[in-house]
Parts: sequence; structure tokens; C-alpha cells
Amino acid sequence: MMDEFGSESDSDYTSYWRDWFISSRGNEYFCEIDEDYLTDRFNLTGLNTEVQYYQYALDLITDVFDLDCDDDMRETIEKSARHLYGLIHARYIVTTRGLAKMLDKYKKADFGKCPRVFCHSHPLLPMGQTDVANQKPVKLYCARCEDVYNPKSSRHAAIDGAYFGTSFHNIMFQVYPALLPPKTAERYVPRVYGFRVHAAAALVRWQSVRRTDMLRRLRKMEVESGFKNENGEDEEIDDEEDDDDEDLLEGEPVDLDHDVAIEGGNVNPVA
Amino acid sequence: MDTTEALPQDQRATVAGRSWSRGDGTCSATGHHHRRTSTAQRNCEGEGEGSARAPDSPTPNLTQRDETGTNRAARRRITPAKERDRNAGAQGTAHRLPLAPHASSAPSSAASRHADAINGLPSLSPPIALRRRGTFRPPPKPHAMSTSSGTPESWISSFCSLLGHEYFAEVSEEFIEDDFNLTGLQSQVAMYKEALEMILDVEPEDDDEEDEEEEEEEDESIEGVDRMRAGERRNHSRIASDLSVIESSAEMLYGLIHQRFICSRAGIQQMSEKYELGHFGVCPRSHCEQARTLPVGLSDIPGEDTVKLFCPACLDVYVPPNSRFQTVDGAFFGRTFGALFLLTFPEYDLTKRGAEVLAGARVSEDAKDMLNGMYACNTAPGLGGNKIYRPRIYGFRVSEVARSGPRMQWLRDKPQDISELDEARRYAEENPDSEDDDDASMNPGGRPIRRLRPRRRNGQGGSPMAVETNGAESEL
Ligand SMILES: [Zn+2]
Ligand SMILES: [Zn+2]
Repeated sequence: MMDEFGSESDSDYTSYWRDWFISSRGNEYFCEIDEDYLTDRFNLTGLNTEVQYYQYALDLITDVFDLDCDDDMRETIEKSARHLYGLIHARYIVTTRGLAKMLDKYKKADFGKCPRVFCHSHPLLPMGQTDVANQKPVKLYCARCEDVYNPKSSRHAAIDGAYFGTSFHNIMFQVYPALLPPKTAERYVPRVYGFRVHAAAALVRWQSVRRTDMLRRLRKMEVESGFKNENGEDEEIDDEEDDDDEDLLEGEPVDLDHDVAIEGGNVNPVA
Repeated sequence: MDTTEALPQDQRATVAGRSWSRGDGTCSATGHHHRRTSTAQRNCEGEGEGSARAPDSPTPNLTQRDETGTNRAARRRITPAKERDRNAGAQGTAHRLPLAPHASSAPSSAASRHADAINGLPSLSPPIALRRRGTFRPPPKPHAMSTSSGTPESWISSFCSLLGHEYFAEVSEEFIEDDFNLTGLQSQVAMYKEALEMILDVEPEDDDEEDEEEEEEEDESIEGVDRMRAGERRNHSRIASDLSVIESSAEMLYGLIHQRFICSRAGIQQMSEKYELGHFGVCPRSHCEQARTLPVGLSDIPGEDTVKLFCPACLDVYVPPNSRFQTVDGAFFGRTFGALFLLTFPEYDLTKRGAEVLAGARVSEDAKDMLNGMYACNTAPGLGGNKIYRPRIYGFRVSEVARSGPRMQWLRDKPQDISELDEARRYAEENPDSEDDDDASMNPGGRPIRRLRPRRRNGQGGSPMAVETNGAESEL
């Protein structure tokens, strides 16, 4: 990470446009693409047909734009440059250097934190739901619950998801497996006066069976499950005992801590 | 949108802190403050524009109020509105007075603080004073007040209209005045009696001139607020530090009452209106497609955690997006409300979004298969099938066998055939000899449960009270 610092200051004098771009409000999800990457034509293969005034746009991004033109034209080229930057960004962030830069931002939680209570503010990564431009806005991926969330801010919600792509966030964890957060069975169980609500509890039980099956499969294949407590599912067996009555509310309204234990997770983060 | 979200974390905390203290300061917005300093206020008449006719100045003819029709003894109120009633009574006319006293809200409290200092009473400590100034909603314009039928805000409605308090329902006075509803709260809140008075905008009786009348009141008041008040009622010179304690106690007490209120018939009804109006926001999960959420607590004990949002589409809980909610105690909503809401209003079609909810989208007649006491279509509509995220790299699925492979899909999964969740039916099928208890199944509304495939439904939505009774009984 140290050398990133170095390279950034090296390229200071050439990164005027990129500096401006990544520091603009709403562009917090983008990292700065290296000069080297931008000047290697190979990396840009095929993008010339995606963007209007491709060459001018690229010149603008690399701070060599010197066309004398009117404001409308300038604005059009500016718009193209932003789009081109996004498209290159999607490719850049899956390179070693790009991943490292995004990792830095991830560690600082520049992409926000998972809103799910039981993810305990785990940092998010930006992702696209498609690699095709102009289709779907950017979403945020939480590696802890492995789910996808909408950005809180409308500024971010308007960014094209293709600027991050469908693979980046998954590659990140393949390349840096140590980043994988521990998984837990901790979850919310709806209750009424301490009783689990039957409809939800039945689903929770069904899901727990799915989880148990998965953990069994992984054990068989000797693959690390990533769960903090490999035996976590065993604790839940108590829970399954006397559910054969069909009340809407079930179980006993027991003490919270105990209650929580039988659902295999700590429902109350404070306890 | 959230103006604070772009801030770095530490700054954000500051903002949140500020909004909390804003909350702290509010309690006095409507007048408790006047009352406290009434002696002082009289001394400074004429100083502030508003104090010319301080609400506490003795009026010759105080009218007793027994507005709820319960046997609660008369309580005198100090909200300007009530004051007005009194004044009106004094003048023998129903006509509303124009408004010196009431326009006074903010200015006269400033004046009375000033007077406090003059009289050598401890004045409010600067932070509190500042906070209070910040929290005061601008006093209603005299003009507006005299034209609108205009009751100035009660403590409750001003509490609920504070920034960050958008999720709160306005607890009805009736609910609060029923001692049964407050059972056990007395021991949980410091200066309970004073806090309760503040919430209800009740004036602690303290003026000599009122003694006669008070005695009458005392005779009638055998329970509740009045009884508790009896001991100290003449001791009105509360010191400022008490006031801030009372203010925060009032918020705590209101929150705890609120936890109970929103599980009552009237309260849950009010919350359903707020739900339809979208006051509680939407699920941040992408596959839930803006499903409406409900405010819940993860604990019923105050001080443990802040309010969360429960999404009926994915049955999960989320941190509210705006940091201003991250200072609201989750216990003020409690663990029961979210699930009780779904049991109480089974007819809401949880697959509908946005404007359709506003239009009151209900489960359509042909989708009314029951499953485990809910309509099957309302069972976690945001889960299962294509609503599970499946990671891919360059188009290829990441295998479960990979170290970074999916491990949490079970959390967002749901059986393709939802009737798989009908455990009793499955049990019956797998154990044909066992007793078929289908007919014994009742949901809390007392309505027979229609099995997923067989039988047609009857009846409307379940009654919230029935659920409550059910739960409460079993808890005893
Ligand atoms: Zn998460
Ligand atoms: Zn959801």
C-alpha cells in the first residue's frame, strides 16, 4: 500500500482531471486509475466503440486534451470522459493494483456499511448486477451476509453498476481470502410477547436445515465453512423438539439469553 | 437525503449526539417550564412580551377538567390551550382569547429563566438552556393561533414531531390515563410523577389561591396521577437540575408507554396509518424491492440498543438509513410490535410496493391460501428462488467448494413449494396414524386456519387484542 502513495504523488502533475473526478461529490466509490494503465492501449480494447468522441475523452482523462471547442462540445466530451472513466474503472479494479486500491477504500468503509443489524456494520463493496453499461445502477455487496443492498444516497444510487461490474467484489475475496468475514447463524426471529411467530419460525427452521446440510456437505469435502462455530447448528436442535402443535405463537417466552441460544445466534447484540 | 451520511464517522457521531440532545431539550417546549417558574414569572411580568399574562398567573375561576369521562379527577392543564379554556371560563365567554399568554412559549421561558436568576434561584445550566433554545419550535404565530381552532401543541405531539421521532405514534391521553397501562413503569423512571405530568401537560398544583379547589379535587381523586401527586403538590420550587431530569424522564416514560401503546388496538391502528403513509421507510436489501419496513426494538429494556427496521419481505432487521434514528431507543418500540403488526393486519399484501401500499393494497381474493396462520403469499415474499444473490466471476458461478464460495444463501432461501413449511400437514402425511389436528388449529383471531390447499377461508383479519390476550396469558 505504501507504493500507491508513491505512485500517486509521482503522477500528481498529470492527474488533474482524475483528481477532480474522484474527489467530486458522489464519486466516492471510484478509485484513481493509474496513468500507466490508461496509456496502455491494450487495456482499452473495444472501448472506442462504446464512447462518443473516444479520443478526446481519453485525452481529457489523461490531461492532454487541447481541443479548442465551444462549451456544448466541451460538455459532451466531458460527459463521454466520465463514462469512459467508468468503463475503464470496471477493468482496472480487477487488476492487482486496482484491487489493492479498492481494498484500501474497503478498509476505510468508503462504500458504506452493511445495514443488516447482524452484520455489525461490516463494510460493503460496490458491484454491478450486469456488465453492460446503462442497464442497472450500482449496488453494494456485503461479504458477511452475502447479500446486495441499495446505496443510501441518491447520488450513489444513480451511478452505473457497470463501472464496477459483476465480478470485482467476488474476485476481491478470492484474491484476499483473509478478508472473508467469519459467518454466523446469528439472525432475527420475529416474536410476539416472547413467542416466536409460527409462520416465521417455520421458515427459520427450514432455513436452519439448509444451513446444516450445507455445513455437512462442506465437512465431507473438507472445505472450510467460514463459520465461527462449526457446531453452531447443533445448539438449535433443542429448538426443534416440540413444534408439532400448530399455534401461531410457539415456544415459551423464556429469558432472552436462553432464547437466543436456542435459535443459534445471539439475537441481542448487547447481551 | 441524509446530509450526515457523507460525513466521516466521527463527525457523524457528533451530529447524532446533537440530535439526541435536541431530543433532550424538547420536553419543556410546551409549558411545563412556565409552570415551574411561575412565581418568578409573576415577578417579571412585562419583561418579555409573552409574560404579560403568564399561564400560571392565578385566574379567578379555574375550571376543572375531566375530559376523558373517566373517573380520573380533574386535572388542570398548563398547555396554553387549556389555559385559554380557563381564561375563557373566567370571562364567562366561550370566545377564545387572543393570545398574549400563549404566544409566549419560547420568549417567556427565556424571560422566566432570566427571572430565575434574578430571584436567586439556580438558573438553567448553559448547556440545557442552549439546547432548549435550539429545540424550541418557533412559537405559533398569534394570528395563526387565534384563527385556527388551534390547540397549540401538546407535549406529546411536539415530542413526536421532533427530528428523529418520525416513527413514534402519538399515544392517546386516554391510554396514558388508564393506570393499568402504566403498571410497573413507576419503578423504571426517575421522577415518575413529574414526568407523567409533563407528558400530559398537567400542572402540578401549587398556588395558595387554588387550595380550596384542590381540596375538592383531592376528595375525588382517589387514584392515578392525583393520588401520587398529593404528597408534594405544594412544593413547586423545583430546581433547574430537576427539570432536566424530568425532561429526560418524560421521554423515557413516554417511550415505555409507547412500547405498550403500539401493541394496543388504537396504537397499532395508528401505526398502520403511518405504515401506509410510508413513515417507516423501506428495506435497503436490493431484492426486497423497497418493501416497507416497521420500527422495532431488539430488546424491551431501554438503553440497550437503538431502533431498527424490520422487513416483512425478508424477515430481517436493519439499521435505519438516517443517523438521526440512531439515537432513538429501540425499547420504545419493543420486540413485539413488528410481528404483532403482521398478525394483526394479515390483509396487507406484502408483495405490493410504493404507491400500491398507500392505496391500501390488500391480499386479493384468489391469493388467500393460508399457511401457518398467514396468507402464503405474504410469507417472506422477498426470499427464495431468484431473490438470492448468487456470486459469479466472469459469468461463472462461484462454487460452494471455493473458500470464498457462498455460505449464507440459506438466510435468504425459501422452499420453492411454500407448502413445505406446513409442518403439521407434513407431519400428518408422514405419520398417517397420528391424530389429525387440523380442525383444532386456530389463529389468534379465532379464525380457523385454512390449509394451504384445502378449504376456503372465512372471516376477516385477526383481532389484535386477541393476540395480545393470547400472549399475555401464556406469559403469566
Ligand atoms: Zn451484511
Ligand atoms: Zn427486506
